[in-house]
Amino acid sequence: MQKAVELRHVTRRYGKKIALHDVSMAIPKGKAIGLLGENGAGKSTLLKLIAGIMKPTSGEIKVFDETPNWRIRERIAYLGDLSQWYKFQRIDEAIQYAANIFPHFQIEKAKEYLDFMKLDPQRKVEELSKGQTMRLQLILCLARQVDLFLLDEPLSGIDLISREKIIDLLIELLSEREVTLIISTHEIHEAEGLFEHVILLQNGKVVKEGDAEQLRVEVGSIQKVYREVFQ
Amino acid sequence: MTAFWSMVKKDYQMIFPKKYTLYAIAVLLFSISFGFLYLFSTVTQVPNATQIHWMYTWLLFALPGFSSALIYYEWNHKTMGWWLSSPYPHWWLIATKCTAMFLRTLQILSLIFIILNVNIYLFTLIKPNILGNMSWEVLILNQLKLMGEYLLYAPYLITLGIFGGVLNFSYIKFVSIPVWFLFGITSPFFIFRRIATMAKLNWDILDTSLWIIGSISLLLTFIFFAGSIYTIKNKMEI
Repeated sequence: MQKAVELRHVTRRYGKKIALHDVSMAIPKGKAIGLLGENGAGKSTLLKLIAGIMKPTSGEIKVFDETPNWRIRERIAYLGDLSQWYKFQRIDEAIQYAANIFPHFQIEKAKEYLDFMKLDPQRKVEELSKGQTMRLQLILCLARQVDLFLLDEPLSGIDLISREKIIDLLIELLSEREVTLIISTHEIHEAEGLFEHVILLQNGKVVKEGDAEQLRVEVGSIQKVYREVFQ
Repeated sequence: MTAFWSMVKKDYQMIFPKKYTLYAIAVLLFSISFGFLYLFSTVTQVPNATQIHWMYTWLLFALPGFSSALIYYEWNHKTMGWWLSSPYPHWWLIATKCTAMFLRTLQILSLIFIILNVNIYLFTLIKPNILGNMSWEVLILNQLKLMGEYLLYAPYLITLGIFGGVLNFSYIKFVSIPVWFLFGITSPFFIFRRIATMAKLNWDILDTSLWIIGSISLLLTFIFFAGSIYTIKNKMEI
Protein backbone atom coordinates (compact mmCIF):
# COMPACT_ATOMS: atom_id res chain seq x y z
CA MET A 1 0.00 0.00 0.00
CA GLN A 2 1.34 3.43 -0.93
CA LYS A 3 1.11 5.85 1.98
CA ALA A 4 0.04 9.49 1.80
CA VAL A 5 0.45 10.09 5.52
CA GLU A 6 2.18 8.13 8.23
CA LEU A 7 1.98 8.78 11.98
CA ARG A 8 4.33 7.18 14.48
CA HIS A 9 3.46 7.47 18.16
CA VAL A 10 2.01 10.93 17.72
CA THR A 11 0.80 12.73 20.82
CA ARG A 12 -0.56 16.25 20.90
CA ARG A 13 -1.38 18.07 24.11
CA TYR A 14 -3.16 21.37 24.70
CA GLY A 15 -1.80 22.25 28.10
CA LYS A 16 -2.87 19.36 30.32
CA LYS A 17 -5.49 18.08 27.88
CA ILE A 18 -4.40 15.33 25.52
CA ALA A 19 -6.00 15.70 22.09
CA LEU A 20 -4.17 12.80 20.44
CA HIS A 21 -2.55 10.02 22.39
CA ASP A 22 0.20 7.86 20.92
CA VAL A 23 -1.42 7.53 17.49
CA SER A 24 0.33 5.32 14.96
CA MET A 25 -1.23 4.63 11.57
CA ALA A 26 -0.77 4.89 7.84
CA ILE A 27 -3.26 6.67 5.57
CA PRO A 28 -3.38 5.14 2.07
CA LYS A 29 -2.63 7.26 -0.96
CA GLY A 30 -5.22 7.99 -3.64
CA LYS A 31 -8.29 7.17 -1.55
CA ALA A 32 -11.20 9.00 0.05
CA ILE A 33 -10.82 8.61 3.80
CA GLY A 34 -13.54 9.19 6.36
CA LEU A 35 -12.23 10.47 9.67
CA LEU A 36 -15.02 9.78 12.11
CA GLY A 37 -15.51 10.38 15.78
CA GLU A 38 -17.43 12.30 18.38
CA ASN A 39 -16.75 15.94 19.26
CA GLY A 40 -13.37 16.29 20.93
CA ALA A 41 -12.11 12.96 19.59
CA GLY A 42 -9.05 14.64 18.03
CA LYS A 43 -10.15 14.80 14.36
CA SER A 44 -9.42 18.51 13.85
CA THR A 45 -6.11 18.23 15.70
CA LEU A 46 -5.07 15.34 13.47
CA LEU A 47 -5.87 17.32 10.31
CA LYS A 48 -3.98 20.38 11.58
CA LEU A 49 -0.96 18.23 12.34
CA ILE A 50 -1.03 16.71 8.85
CA ALA A 51 -1.42 20.20 7.32
CA GLY A 52 1.64 21.32 9.28
CA ILE A 53 -0.26 24.15 10.98
CA MET A 54 0.84 22.80 14.34
CA LYS A 55 3.48 20.38 15.54
CA PRO A 56 2.98 17.20 17.56
CA THR A 57 4.06 17.30 21.19
CA SER A 58 5.87 14.02 20.54
CA GLY A 59 6.07 11.46 17.77
CA GLU A 60 6.63 11.77 14.08
CA ILE A 61 4.44 12.60 11.09
CA LYS A 62 5.36 12.03 7.47
CA VAL A 63 3.32 13.43 4.60
CA PHE A 64 4.45 12.03 1.27
CA ASP A 65 7.56 10.85 3.13
CA GLU A 66 8.40 14.34 4.39
CA THR A 67 7.94 15.99 7.75
CA PRO A 68 5.19 18.63 7.20
CA ASN A 69 6.77 21.94 6.21
CA TRP A 70 5.82 24.93 4.12
CA ARG A 71 7.04 23.34 0.88
CA ILE A 72 4.87 20.26 1.35
CA ARG A 73 1.87 22.58 1.77
CA GLU A 74 2.06 23.14 -2.00
CA ARG A 75 0.72 19.58 -2.23
CA ILE A 76 -1.87 19.95 0.53
CA ALA A 77 -5.15 21.85 0.53
CA TYR A 78 -6.56 22.30 4.02
CA LEU A 79 -10.05 23.47 4.90
CA GLY A 80 -10.53 23.60 8.63
CA ASP A 81 -12.51 25.18 11.41
CA LEU A 82 -10.44 28.37 11.09
CA SER A 83 -10.80 28.60 7.32
CA GLN A 84 -13.44 31.25 6.80
CA TRP A 85 -12.76 33.43 3.78
CA TYR A 86 -11.94 37.17 3.97
CA LYS A 87 -15.27 38.94 4.24
CA PHE A 88 -14.24 42.18 2.56
CA GLN A 89 -13.55 40.46 -0.77
CA ARG A 90 -16.04 39.74 -3.58
CA ILE A 91 -16.24 36.16 -4.81
CA ASP A 92 -14.35 36.97 -8.03
CA GLU A 93 -11.68 38.79 -5.98
CA ALA A 94 -11.41 35.74 -3.72
CA ILE A 95 -10.85 33.50 -6.76
CA GLN A 96 -8.21 35.86 -8.14
CA TYR A 97 -6.50 36.12 -4.75
CA ALA A 98 -6.45 32.33 -4.38
CA ALA A 99 -5.02 32.05 -7.91
CA ASN A 100 -2.27 34.49 -6.96
CA ILE A 101 -1.23 32.82 -3.72
CA PHE A 102 -1.78 29.12 -4.32
CA PRO A 103 0.55 27.48 -6.84
CA HIS A 104 -1.30 25.27 -9.37
CA PHE A 105 -4.66 26.93 -8.65
CA GLN A 106 -6.99 26.21 -11.57
CA ILE A 107 -8.87 29.42 -12.14
CA GLU A 108 -11.04 27.99 -14.93
CA LYS A 109 -11.95 25.03 -12.75
CA ALA A 110 -12.89 27.42 -9.94
CA LYS A 111 -15.20 29.32 -12.29
CA GLU A 112 -16.73 26.04 -13.42
CA TYR A 113 -17.32 25.05 -9.78
CA LEU A 114 -18.83 28.48 -9.07
CA ASP A 115 -21.34 27.86 -11.81
CA PHE A 116 -22.07 24.39 -10.48
CA MET A 117 -22.52 25.73 -6.95
CA LYS A 118 -24.71 28.59 -8.23
CA LEU A 119 -22.65 31.40 -6.71
CA ASP A 120 -22.64 34.88 -8.21
CA PRO A 121 -19.01 36.06 -8.65
CA GLN A 122 -20.01 39.67 -7.99
CA ARG A 123 -21.39 39.00 -4.51
CA LYS A 124 -19.43 39.96 -1.44
CA VAL A 125 -18.35 37.15 0.87
CA GLU A 126 -19.94 38.94 3.86
CA GLU A 127 -23.34 38.76 2.11
CA LEU A 128 -23.25 34.96 1.77
CA SER A 129 -25.17 32.55 3.97
CA LYS A 130 -23.30 29.94 6.00
CA GLY A 131 -23.97 27.26 3.38
CA GLN A 132 -22.92 29.52 0.51
CA THR A 133 -19.75 30.51 2.38
CA MET A 134 -18.86 26.85 2.86
CA ARG A 135 -19.51 26.22 -0.85
CA LEU A 136 -17.13 29.06 -1.74
CA GLN A 137 -14.45 27.85 0.67
CA LEU A 138 -14.72 24.39 -0.77
CA ILE A 139 -14.36 25.73 -4.31
CA LEU A 140 -11.23 27.67 -3.29
CA CYS A 141 -9.85 24.50 -1.75
CA LEU A 142 -10.80 21.99 -4.45
CA ALA A 143 -9.69 24.16 -7.38
CA ARG A 144 -6.13 23.66 -6.21
CA GLN A 145 -4.27 20.94 -8.07
CA VAL A 146 -2.81 19.18 -5.06
CA ASP A 147 -2.32 15.57 -3.99
CA LEU A 148 -3.94 15.73 -0.58
CA PHE A 149 -7.16 17.42 0.52
CA LEU A 150 -7.93 17.79 4.21
CA LEU A 151 -11.53 18.78 4.87
CA ASP A 152 -12.59 19.32 8.45
CA GLU A 153 -16.37 19.08 8.89
CA PRO A 154 -17.26 20.51 5.45
CA LEU A 155 -20.90 19.44 5.89
CA SER A 156 -21.45 20.63 9.42
CA GLY A 157 -24.23 23.11 10.23
CA ILE A 158 -25.24 23.90 6.66
CA ASP A 159 -28.46 23.45 4.72
CA LEU A 160 -29.43 20.27 2.88
CA ILE A 161 -29.02 21.73 -0.63
CA SER A 162 -25.51 22.98 0.17
CA ARG A 163 -24.61 19.61 1.65
CA GLU A 164 -25.84 17.80 -1.45
CA LYS A 165 -23.95 20.16 -3.73
CA ILE A 166 -20.76 19.71 -1.72
CA ILE A 167 -21.06 15.91 -1.90
CA ASP A 168 -21.66 16.13 -5.66
CA LEU A 169 -18.60 18.32 -6.04
CA LEU A 170 -16.46 15.89 -4.05
CA ILE A 171 -17.71 12.98 -6.20
CA GLU A 172 -16.80 14.98 -9.31
CA LEU A 173 -13.34 15.69 -7.93
CA LEU A 174 -12.72 12.04 -7.08
CA SER A 175 -13.84 10.91 -10.53
CA GLU A 176 -11.62 13.47 -12.27
CA ARG A 177 -8.33 13.21 -10.38
CA GLU A 178 -6.46 10.64 -8.36
CA VAL A 179 -6.14 12.41 -5.06
CA THR A 180 -6.12 11.57 -1.38
CA LEU A 181 -9.11 13.09 0.38
CA ILE A 182 -9.45 13.04 4.15
CA ILE A 183 -12.84 14.23 5.40
CA SER A 184 -13.80 14.52 9.02
CA THR A 185 -17.55 14.57 9.41
CA HIS A 186 -20.53 13.78 11.58
CA GLU A 187 -22.84 13.55 8.58
CA ILE A 188 -21.99 9.90 7.99
CA HIS A 189 -25.26 9.06 6.30
CA GLU A 190 -24.74 11.59 3.52
CA ALA A 191 -21.02 11.13 3.03
CA GLU A 192 -20.68 7.40 3.58
CA GLY A 193 -20.84 6.60 -0.13
CA LEU A 194 -17.64 8.60 -0.64
CA PHE A 195 -15.45 6.70 1.78
CA GLU A 196 -13.02 4.05 0.61
CA HIS A 197 -11.24 3.87 3.94
CA VAL A 198 -12.39 4.88 7.41
CA ILE A 199 -10.63 5.83 10.63
CA LEU A 200 -12.59 6.07 13.86
CA LEU A 201 -11.16 8.18 16.65
CA GLN A 202 -12.21 8.22 20.29
CA ASN A 203 -10.58 10.24 23.06
CA GLY A 204 -7.51 10.87 20.94
CA LYS A 205 -6.97 7.24 19.98
CA VAL A 206 -7.69 5.25 16.83
CA VAL A 207 -10.33 2.72 17.84
CA LYS A 208 -11.09 1.25 14.44
CA GLU A 209 -9.61 1.57 10.99
CA GLY A 210 -10.01 -0.25 7.75
CA ASP A 211 -11.18 -0.60 4.19
CA ALA A 212 -14.69 0.85 3.92
CA GLU A 213 -15.96 -1.80 1.54
CA GLN A 214 -14.81 -4.60 3.80
CA LEU A 215 -16.48 -2.94 6.81
CA ARG A 216 -19.70 -2.55 4.81
CA VAL A 217 -19.63 -6.26 3.96
CA GLU A 218 -18.90 -7.22 7.58
CA VAL A 219 -21.25 -4.85 9.40
CA GLY A 220 -23.67 -3.48 6.81
CA SER A 221 -22.80 0.22 6.63
CA ILE A 222 -20.31 2.73 8.00
CA GLN A 223 -23.13 4.21 10.04
CA LYS A 224 -23.58 0.85 11.75
CA VAL A 225 -19.85 0.62 12.38
CA TYR A 226 -20.00 4.10 13.96
CA ARG A 227 -22.93 3.10 16.19
CA GLU A 228 -21.21 -0.12 17.17
CA VAL A 229 -18.09 1.74 18.27
CA PHE A 230 -19.60 4.75 19.98
CA GLN A 231 -22.82 3.46 21.56
CA MET B 1 0.63 40.15 -9.23
CA THR B 2 3.05 37.95 -7.29
CA ALA B 3 1.92 35.95 -4.26
CA PHE B 4 3.83 38.26 -1.90
CA TRP B 5 2.22 41.45 -3.16
CA SER B 6 -1.20 39.81 -3.33
CA MET B 7 -0.89 39.00 0.34
CA VAL B 8 0.38 42.49 1.10
CA LYS B 9 -2.63 43.95 -0.74
CA LYS B 10 -5.01 41.72 1.21
CA ASP B 11 -3.38 42.68 4.53
CA TYR B 12 -3.41 46.33 3.50
CA GLN B 13 -7.17 46.10 2.88
CA MET B 14 -7.61 44.27 6.16
CA ILE B 15 -6.24 47.24 8.17
CA PHE B 16 -9.02 49.52 6.92
CA PRO B 17 -11.40 47.64 4.61
CA LYS B 18 -12.62 49.74 1.65
CA LYS B 19 -16.01 50.44 3.22
CA TYR B 20 -14.32 52.21 6.15
CA THR B 21 -11.81 54.20 4.09
CA LEU B 22 -13.99 57.29 3.78
CA TYR B 23 -14.78 57.25 7.51
CA ALA B 24 -11.09 56.89 8.36
CA ILE B 25 -10.16 59.83 6.11
CA ALA B 26 -13.02 61.92 7.57
CA VAL B 27 -11.87 61.19 11.13
CA LEU B 28 -8.28 62.08 10.21
CA LEU B 29 -9.39 65.28 8.47
CA PHE B 30 -11.56 66.33 11.39
CA SER B 31 -8.97 65.42 14.07
CA ILE B 32 -6.04 67.17 12.41
CA SER B 33 -8.12 70.29 11.62
CA PHE B 34 -9.58 70.37 15.12
CA GLY B 35 -6.14 69.83 16.69
CA PHE B 36 -4.68 72.58 14.54
CA LEU B 37 -7.44 75.06 15.41
CA TYR B 38 -7.19 74.20 19.11
CA LEU B 39 -3.42 74.71 19.05
CA PHE B 40 -3.65 78.04 17.27
CA SER B 41 -6.33 79.32 19.60
CA THR B 42 -3.50 79.70 22.17
CA VAL B 43 -0.41 80.07 19.98
CA THR B 44 -0.11 82.86 17.46
CA GLN B 45 2.71 81.66 15.22
CA VAL B 46 3.87 78.31 13.85
CA PRO B 47 7.49 78.59 15.20
CA ASN B 48 6.06 78.82 18.73
CA ALA B 49 3.75 75.84 18.28
CA THR B 50 6.05 73.21 19.77
CA GLN B 51 3.10 70.84 20.27
CA ILE B 52 2.45 70.66 16.54
CA HIS B 53 4.46 67.41 16.43
CA TRP B 54 1.44 65.67 18.02
CA MET B 55 -0.29 65.83 14.64
CA TYR B 56 2.20 63.14 13.62
CA THR B 57 3.32 61.65 16.95
CA TRP B 58 -0.03 60.07 17.85
CA LEU B 59 0.53 57.61 15.02
CA LEU B 60 3.53 56.10 16.83
CA PHE B 61 1.25 55.15 19.70
CA ALA B 62 -1.43 53.78 17.39
CA LEU B 63 0.93 51.69 15.20
CA PRO B 64 1.33 48.70 17.54
CA GLY B 65 -2.46 48.61 17.94
CA PHE B 66 -3.09 48.69 14.18
CA SER B 67 -0.48 45.96 13.66
CA SER B 68 -1.93 43.75 16.40
CA ALA B 69 -5.31 44.21 14.74
CA LEU B 70 -3.99 42.37 11.67
CA ILE B 71 -3.50 39.24 13.76
CA TYR B 72 -6.76 39.78 15.68
CA TYR B 73 -8.58 39.97 12.34
CA GLU B 74 -7.22 36.59 11.24
CA TRP B 75 -8.25 35.09 14.56
CA ASN B 76 -11.63 36.75 15.10
CA HIS B 77 -12.78 36.21 11.51
CA LYS B 78 -11.46 32.64 11.62
CA THR B 79 -9.27 33.11 8.55
CA MET B 80 -6.18 31.84 10.39
CA GLY B 81 -6.47 28.43 8.66
CA TRP B 82 -5.93 29.89 5.17
CA TRP B 83 -3.16 32.15 6.40
CA LEU B 84 -1.18 29.47 8.23
CA SER B 85 -1.70 26.73 5.65
CA SER B 86 -0.43 28.89 2.78
CA PRO B 87 2.51 27.24 1.05
CA TYR B 88 5.02 29.86 2.21
CA PRO B 89 7.50 30.06 5.08
CA HIS B 90 6.37 31.72 8.28
CA TRP B 91 8.80 34.65 7.97
CA TRP B 92 7.15 35.40 4.64
CA LEU B 93 3.66 35.46 6.17
CA ILE B 94 4.82 37.90 8.84
CA ALA B 95 6.74 39.99 6.31
CA THR B 96 3.61 40.59 4.20
CA LYS B 97 1.78 41.94 7.24
CA CYS B 98 4.71 44.20 8.20
CA THR B 99 5.00 45.50 4.63
CA ALA B 100 1.26 46.21 4.45
CA MET B 101 1.37 48.06 7.77
CA PHE B 102 4.41 50.05 6.68
CA LEU B 103 2.63 51.11 3.49
CA ARG B 104 -0.42 52.15 5.55
CA THR B 105 1.92 54.17 7.80
CA LEU B 106 3.32 55.97 4.76
CA GLN B 107 -0.20 56.62 3.54
CA ILE B 108 -1.40 58.00 6.89
CA LEU B 109 1.69 60.19 7.31
CA SER B 110 1.20 61.58 3.80
CA LEU B 111 -2.45 62.34 4.52
CA ILE B 112 -1.53 64.10 7.77
CA PHE B 113 1.13 66.09 5.90
CA ILE B 114 -1.39 67.23 3.28
CA ILE B 115 -4.21 67.99 5.71
CA LEU B 116 -1.95 69.87 8.13
CA ASN B 117 -0.31 72.02 5.47
CA VAL B 118 -3.61 72.82 3.76
CA ASN B 119 -4.84 73.95 7.20
CA ILE B 120 -1.78 76.15 7.71
CA TYR B 121 -2.17 77.58 4.22
CA LEU B 122 -5.85 78.38 4.82
CA PHE B 123 -4.87 80.03 8.10
CA THR B 124 -2.34 82.24 6.31
CA LEU B 125 -5.25 83.65 4.29
CA ILE B 126 -6.76 84.93 7.53
CA LYS B 127 -3.53 85.65 9.45
CA PRO B 128 -0.70 86.24 6.94
CA ASN B 129 2.00 86.41 9.65
CA ILE B 130 1.25 82.99 11.13
CA LEU B 131 4.56 81.57 9.85
CA GLY B 132 6.52 84.35 11.58
CA ASN B 133 10.13 84.24 10.38
CA MET B 134 9.78 80.66 9.17
CA SER B 135 9.63 80.09 5.43
CA TRP B 136 7.39 77.47 3.82
CA GLU B 137 10.55 75.60 2.75
CA VAL B 138 11.78 75.29 6.35
CA LEU B 139 8.33 74.31 7.61
CA ILE B 140 8.01 71.57 5.00
CA LEU B 141 11.58 70.38 5.54
CA ASN B 142 11.03 70.14 9.32
CA GLN B 143 7.94 68.03 8.79
CA LEU B 144 9.72 65.77 6.31
CA LYS B 145 12.55 65.27 8.81
CA LEU B 146 9.99 64.44 11.50
CA MET B 147 8.27 61.93 9.21
CA GLY B 148 11.64 60.42 8.29
CA GLU B 149 12.50 59.95 11.95
CA TYR B 150 9.12 58.38 12.66
CA LEU B 151 9.59 55.99 9.75
CA LEU B 152 12.74 54.80 11.55
CA TYR B 153 10.63 53.88 14.58
CA ALA B 154 7.88 52.33 12.46
CA PRO B 155 9.43 48.87 11.81
CA TYR B 156 10.04 48.41 15.54
CA LEU B 157 6.52 49.47 16.46
CA ILE B 158 4.91 47.39 13.70
CA THR B 159 6.77 44.19 14.59
CA LEU B 160 6.10 44.83 18.27
CA GLY B 161 2.37 45.00 17.50
CA ILE B 162 2.49 41.85 15.37
CA PHE B 163 4.43 39.99 18.07
CA GLY B 164 1.99 41.20 20.74
CA GLY B 165 -0.92 40.02 18.58
CA VAL B 166 0.61 36.62 17.91
CA LEU B 167 1.46 36.14 21.60
CA ASN B 168 -2.12 36.79 22.54
CA PHE B 169 -3.20 33.63 20.71
CA SER B 170 -0.38 31.46 22.01
CA TYR B 171 0.48 29.40 25.07
CA ILE B 172 3.04 32.00 26.08
CA LYS B 173 0.66 34.94 26.52
CA PHE B 174 2.60 36.06 29.59
CA VAL B 175 5.51 37.13 27.34
CA SER B 176 3.31 39.94 26.03
CA ILE B 177 3.59 41.68 29.43
CA PRO B 178 7.33 42.52 29.08
CA VAL B 179 6.76 43.28 25.38
CA TRP B 180 4.11 45.93 26.08
CA PHE B 181 6.17 47.11 29.06
CA LEU B 182 9.05 47.73 26.65
CA PHE B 183 6.69 49.75 24.47
CA GLY B 184 5.62 51.67 27.57
CA ILE B 185 9.15 52.59 28.57
CA THR B 186 10.39 53.42 25.06
CA SER B 187 7.44 55.54 23.98
CA PRO B 188 8.23 58.59 26.17
CA PHE B 189 11.53 58.74 24.25
CA PHE B 190 9.66 59.66 21.03
CA ILE B 191 7.89 62.51 22.78
CA PHE B 192 10.69 63.82 24.98
CA ARG B 193 13.08 63.77 22.07
CA ARG B 194 10.65 65.91 20.09
CA ILE B 195 9.83 68.28 22.93
CA ALA B 196 13.49 68.61 23.94
CA THR B 197 14.51 69.34 20.36
CA MET B 198 11.77 71.88 19.80
CA ALA B 199 12.11 73.53 23.18
CA LYS B 200 15.91 73.38 22.84
CA LEU B 201 16.32 71.62 26.18
CA ASN B 202 19.72 70.11 26.77
CA TRP B 203 18.91 66.49 27.56
CA ASP B 204 21.90 64.53 26.32
CA ILE B 205 20.18 61.18 25.84
CA LEU B 206 17.66 62.81 23.55
CA ASP B 207 20.41 64.06 21.25
CA THR B 208 20.93 60.45 20.12
CA SER B 209 21.86 60.40 16.45
CA LEU B 210 19.43 58.96 13.93
CA TRP B 211 21.97 56.25 13.04
CA ILE B 212 21.83 54.91 16.57
CA ILE B 213 18.05 55.18 16.71
CA GLY B 214 17.81 53.42 13.34
CA SER B 215 20.16 50.63 14.45
CA ILE B 216 18.33 50.04 17.73
CA SER B 217 14.99 50.09 15.92
CA LEU B 218 16.33 47.55 13.41
CA LEU B 219 17.65 45.29 16.16
CA LEU B 220 14.32 45.35 18.02
CA THR B 221 12.51 44.80 14.72
CA PHE B 222 14.59 41.69 14.13
CA ILE B 223 13.95 40.38 17.66
CA PHE B 224 10.17 40.86 17.42
CA PHE B 225 10.09 39.48 13.89
CA ALA B 226 11.97 36.35 14.97
CA GLY B 227 9.78 36.09 18.09
CA SER B 228 6.62 36.19 15.95
CA ILE B 229 7.92 33.44 13.67
CA TYR B 230 8.93 31.26 16.62
CA THR B 231 5.53 31.71 18.28
CA ILE B 232 3.57 30.95 15.12
CA LYS B 233 5.68 27.88 14.45
CA ASN B 234 5.69 26.40 17.93
CA LYS B 235 3.30 28.02 20.35
CA MET B 236 0.05 28.92 18.63
CA GLU B 237 -3.12 27.98 20.49
CA ILE B 238 -5.06 26.71 17.48
